[in-house]
Amino acid sequence: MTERSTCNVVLKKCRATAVRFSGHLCGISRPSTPILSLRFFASWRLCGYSFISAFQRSPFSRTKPVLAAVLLFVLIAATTQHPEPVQLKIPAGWPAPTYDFSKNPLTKEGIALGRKLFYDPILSVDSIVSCSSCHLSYTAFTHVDHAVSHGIRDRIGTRNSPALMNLAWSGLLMWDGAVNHLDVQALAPIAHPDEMGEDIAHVVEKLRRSGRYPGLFYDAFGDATITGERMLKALSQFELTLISANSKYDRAQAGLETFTDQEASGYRIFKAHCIACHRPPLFTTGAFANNGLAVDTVYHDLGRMKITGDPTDSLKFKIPTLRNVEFSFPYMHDGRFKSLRQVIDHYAEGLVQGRTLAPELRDGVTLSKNERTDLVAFLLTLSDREFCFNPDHAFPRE
Amino acid sequence: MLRPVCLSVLLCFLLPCTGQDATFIKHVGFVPVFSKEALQLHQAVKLADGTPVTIDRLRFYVSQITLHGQGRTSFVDPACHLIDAEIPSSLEVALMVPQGIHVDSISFLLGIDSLTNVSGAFGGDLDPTKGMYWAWNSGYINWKLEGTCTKCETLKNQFEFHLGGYLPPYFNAQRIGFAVPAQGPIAIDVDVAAFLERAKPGERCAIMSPSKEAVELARVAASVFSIADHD
Ligand code: HEC
Ligand code: HEC
Repeated sequence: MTERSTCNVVLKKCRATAVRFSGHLCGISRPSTPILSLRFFASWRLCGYSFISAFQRSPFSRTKPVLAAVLLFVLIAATTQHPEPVQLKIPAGWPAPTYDFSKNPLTKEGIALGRKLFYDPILSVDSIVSCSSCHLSYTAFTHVDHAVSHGIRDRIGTRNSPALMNLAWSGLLMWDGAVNHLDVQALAPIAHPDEMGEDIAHVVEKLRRSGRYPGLFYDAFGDATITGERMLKALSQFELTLISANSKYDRAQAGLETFTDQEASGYRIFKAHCIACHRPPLFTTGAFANNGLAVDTVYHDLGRMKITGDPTDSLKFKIPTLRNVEFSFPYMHDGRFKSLRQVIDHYAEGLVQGRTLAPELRDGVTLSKNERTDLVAFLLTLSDREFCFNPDHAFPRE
Repeated sequence: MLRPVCLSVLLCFLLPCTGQDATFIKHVGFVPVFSKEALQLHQAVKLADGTPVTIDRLRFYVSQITLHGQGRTSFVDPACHLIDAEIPSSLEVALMVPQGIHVDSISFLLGIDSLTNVSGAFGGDLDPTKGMYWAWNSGYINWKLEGTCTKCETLKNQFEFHLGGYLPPYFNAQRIGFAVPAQGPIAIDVDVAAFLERAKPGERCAIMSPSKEAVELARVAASVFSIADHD
């Protein structure tokens, strides 16, 4: 057996018994030093460890154990960069994220694990559907052209899958705010009979039995134990990196580009009628509102009221971000509108004066044909192609 | 002769160590019972009015265990514990409490507080794989009692009482407190028969989400905890 393969055996053994070497060091950020292959380091560290313990058992020298201890210390110290901390880049002028990173510090390995999970159908009962089936990176992580998302065994969910971005700033999640934290969001699609139809305990079991995942959890968390908590936190880590802040709008704000006359006119209309709810820089306040849609005739979805039981929440839905809205068609929680023009026509002509209609919309929105066209032109400046085609967000190829 | 001397010298050295820092283990046990008997899972039993029932699952969270003495709080346990009638080792909680504290009563939360409920994913007893987390509507299930009852006209006559909810007005967790003897372990009975007699399977067979009814039943659940007097 070569030395390398001995190390691998030791490594596997240690992973299996879930030795925690540097777990407590996660999240400590240090100026980046050149990183050698972390895998290599990890195996060397363990190799060194077994080597030293063999050393300590040898009866003849008293200085050797001391030497060994020093060696061990040096070896561990040399690998404090494992896993490697990552600092999220907050776009200039944005508020502080709402996500508490101290409870789930981002690391290169954690993000990579989350990305792998996001694209892996192992999370669904028939191993066909992954998160990316409904949240496609090229279209700002939404399910293009499906009014309501398809799930396992071709069952159809009851709601339109929203675009995923800037989740580090999110408040309540889902159209009705049923989910209160990004970390626990994935439980919903995993367990939903029409989405992935799985049980989290069973998914964790499948990951434990899989060949690759124990090693990836080891890399991300410093030990190979797979738990629901870790799986969810890894998924969050990947999702938290999905930041969209480089649209034409952003560049115009920064003075790097200028709006056309049409876009500038659209921006003025937007500021007059839309900004109260779709507030920059996130283009949502994160609150819930009734924007005058008639209740849908198929699902009779009452939105937020289903969660709070409060009649004043009837027909209120989460205000979606309008970043990358070009890609998130069809629109609204049930995908009832196919185009942005239809959405704007709704605001201009179709508002249903219900009991819970938002005060901002009570007096209606008057928009001429030209103004509607200008507004669409402005909304298209919110597209961020760099975000959609960022190779770090796409299916992980190795 | 030499021995007692040695011992007392040793004691002199050791005594300073037994000051503030020393701890001892205080056991708090939860004993699932059905009326006066120990609860047997998966076995047909009868309620007081003769209704046959079977209990298949009893799980609940206990958190913020607090020991009080002489009108003051003497110890607070930061952990959340999942008590599962199926897992004997889960029935006993070992608290590492400082030596010399006064204990004349205990209190705890039946369930999980609001802050924990909105703070994302946790491990250990709180790991979502434990089956005590609602997937489609975030939040922990504080109390889960499942079984069968012929009065339930459901699939296989099943009843499922999943009590939880952290948002007002349906905040579900209940604080429970008892006077306890100063010394020795604390044993607390949890009487499932008393719960079912008031929850009345048949009149209702499934509670699966936060609601007014769930809060009422959580109060009932809290009322079936009592200090055990087995001797
Ligand atoms: C079958 C399609 C489908 C699959 C598979 C799916 N989702 Fe979704 N996702 C949706 C729909 C539909 C919604 C909106 C649900 C609602 O509001 O009730 C949603 C909402 C979300 C949200 C909330 C966004 C917001 O702003 O409120 C996040 C985050 C998310 N999904 C992530 C994931 C992850 C992670 C996975 C994989 C574990 C996943 N989704 C799998 C369809 C899907
Ligand atoms: C009172 C708050 C409010 C105002 C004002 C408002 N919206 Fe909305 N908007 C919402 C809500 C809530 C939704 C989601 C409704 C649903 O799906 O049931 C929404 C959805 C949308 C969508 C669909 C996004 C998607 O991805 O499905 C677009 C586009 C949109 N609004 C554009 C606008 C424009 C343009 C204006 C100004 C004319 C405007 N909104 C004004 C609250 C508001």
